[in-house]
Amino acid sequence: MWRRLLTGLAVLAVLAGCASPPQYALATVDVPVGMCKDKTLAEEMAGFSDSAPAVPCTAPHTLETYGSGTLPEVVSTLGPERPGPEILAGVTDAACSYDPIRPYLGATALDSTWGIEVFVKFPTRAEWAAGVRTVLCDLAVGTSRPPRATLPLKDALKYTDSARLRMCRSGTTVVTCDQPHDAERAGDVDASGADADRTARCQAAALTYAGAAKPSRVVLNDGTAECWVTGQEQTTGTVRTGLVAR
Amino acid sequence: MSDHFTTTGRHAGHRGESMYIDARPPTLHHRTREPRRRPAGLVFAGLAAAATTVLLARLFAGGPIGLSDQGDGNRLLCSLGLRQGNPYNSSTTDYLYLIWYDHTWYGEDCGATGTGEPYHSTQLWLAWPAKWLTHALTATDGLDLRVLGVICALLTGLAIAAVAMAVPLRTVGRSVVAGALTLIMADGTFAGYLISAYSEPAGFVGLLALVAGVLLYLRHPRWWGLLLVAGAAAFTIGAKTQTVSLLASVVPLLLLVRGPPVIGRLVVSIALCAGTATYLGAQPERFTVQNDYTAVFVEMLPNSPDAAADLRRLGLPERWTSSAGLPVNATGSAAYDPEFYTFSAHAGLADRLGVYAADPSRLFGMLGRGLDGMGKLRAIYVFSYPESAGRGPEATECRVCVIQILWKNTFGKAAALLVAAVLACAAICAFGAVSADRRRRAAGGTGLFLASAVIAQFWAVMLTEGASDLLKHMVFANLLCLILFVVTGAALATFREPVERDPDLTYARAFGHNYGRDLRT
Repeated sequence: MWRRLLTGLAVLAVLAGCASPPQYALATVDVPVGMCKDKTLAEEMAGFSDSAPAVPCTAPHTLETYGSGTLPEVVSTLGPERPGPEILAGVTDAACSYDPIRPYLGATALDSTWGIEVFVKFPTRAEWAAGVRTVLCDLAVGTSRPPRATLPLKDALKYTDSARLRMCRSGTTVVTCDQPHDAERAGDVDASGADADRTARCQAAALTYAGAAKPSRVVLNDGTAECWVTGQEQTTGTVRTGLVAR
Repeated sequence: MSDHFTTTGRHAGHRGESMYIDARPPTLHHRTREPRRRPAGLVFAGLAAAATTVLLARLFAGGPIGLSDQGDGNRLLCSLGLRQGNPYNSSTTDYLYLIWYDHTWYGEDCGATGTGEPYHSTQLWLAWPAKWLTHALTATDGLDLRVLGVICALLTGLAIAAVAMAVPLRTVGRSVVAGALTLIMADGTFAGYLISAYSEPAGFVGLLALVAGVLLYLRHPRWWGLLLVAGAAAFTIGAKTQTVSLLASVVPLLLLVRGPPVIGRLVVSIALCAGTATYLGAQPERFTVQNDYTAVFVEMLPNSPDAAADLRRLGLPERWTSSAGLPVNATGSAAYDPEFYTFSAHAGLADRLGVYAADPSRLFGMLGRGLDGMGKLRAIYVFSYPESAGRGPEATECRVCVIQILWKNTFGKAAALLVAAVLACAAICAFGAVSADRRRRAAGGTGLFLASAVIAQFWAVMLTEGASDLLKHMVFANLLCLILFVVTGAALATFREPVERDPDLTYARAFGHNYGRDLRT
């Protein structure tokens, strides 16, 4: 009886050991700007490295690499073992600059985005041990809902389908412009001067943004004068002018 | 089963229903009449079936219940290519999600949170066939935790029956033991784990099998018993690293109980220790760091009379006193400091013991906190129902709560009683352990084994993880304690049984074995 039981357990152990090993894709240093990955779980999005195979950016995906970065020396020189997740999480802002994001999205000074987040992917433990210190700087859209895009983010704000990335407002709730909304942000204006001055600047910005005179209002927010193109009723889509179809 | 579970019927007044393994060749039999074959296999099957049925009924009658995943489940089941069925980016703690779907994980996305190091547990040996059966029997592509629950209930039922059959009592006594163990395992404290993504069920089954093995080995110290004890211990330790404390009880048992040749016992002990070391070495380093952090910042410093002095003694920056009481990933945690990179080199178990050695009275405070945790018995921050049950989030079931009600009304109100109870059980069992009667020795020795295992497990938890997630981590200490109570009851019952004499000298000499105490009787 016991012998049979032990034999059975041994067979199970062997079978359990046959679980498929994870598949690896490009090394961190070989990932080019504009590569897309499809990570459908929050656990995967939060992973500290990225070994998933690439997918076409026209296929459903969640992450798009907009650049690469380097770690601060205080972390990159710690040693051959990759530091713990807390140490790495503490340097994400320093590792990936936000400056390249707006040019990557094709944004002008008047374009405001909403729902785009930055994810930093570090070298795997094996890569770190081999001396790799390059990090990947990825963009993700709408992580609060199933975040699968089917179009690339590269120059996305130049296209007519960019409402999904633009900042709008429904009442006091900020939403993307593909959702029902009653105001669309048309950039910021100089906050100095009187209300009338700011309103005039905002009207000019709204005209440039929408290509036609539109009702607008200024919202002072923490020292910034936000200019919003407003409407009487809820609508979806963007009023941005000068966009081209894909 | 019937190959080994034979009866003796040699003693006046003894109904010969105790489990006895008689390997003597027919020519050496001293019996003057053919032994009556008792249906020991049938009793075993009946007890196993009854225990399994009770467990299944308490798990499924009225809708399935289990335990929600507070984060540990994913690291286990992802290695089988599974993901939990919760909506995107939602909490997995509020509800029990019964279905884990097939999913392809890449690289470090699967494994210890934050590092992706692979996590190993013998629970995967139960989850893998459950996944296979889910594919074979249902339309679900993945793992249905209800299937895993059936497997776990069946194995638990078999293990309960094995313990009952190994207890040196008559059928009635064995039935009582089986009933008590079933009541324990059916309690809300333990049963929920059987339908969960946690690795505890393998530990529960392994512990019960280990107790059965120890009972048998102490009564019949032979090779198969030695291997059964070592195998069950390895399986249990392989389920959860915290049960490595069992080595402190198992290795002395293997080395000190005379039976198989000492070289064999030594080899098995070394193999068990080496296997355990290999297993521990293969576990995620991240766990070690997390445990070290917790032991220092959640257990040691908040309860220290001088936290800065403790950090100085450990060779750590005094500025980290501000992190005392904070979890590892909380804002303000010292783990965010690049200097934390070398933390574990300063704050390992030996280093921490050095701090406590400087002021051993602090261990009394730790003892009190641990006993308070044990007194609560059940982890109340993991929940029982799937969303479809309609009970809302964070609902806890109490279908079978006899044990926890009794426990909380005694040890929950006066934790010191727990120490008294364990010591009383140990004293009673020690009385049996030195008896000349094999059955009393087996039950008493097993009780002593369990008492030492409770103490070792308690301190293993307190010194490695401390106050963090204490109620859940104490589950094995609590289970060992409850089994100790049952075995102590069985040990007391053996005093009412007639004496069972050891194999005679002729038998022992014929086989060339030194059966230790047996030869002297």
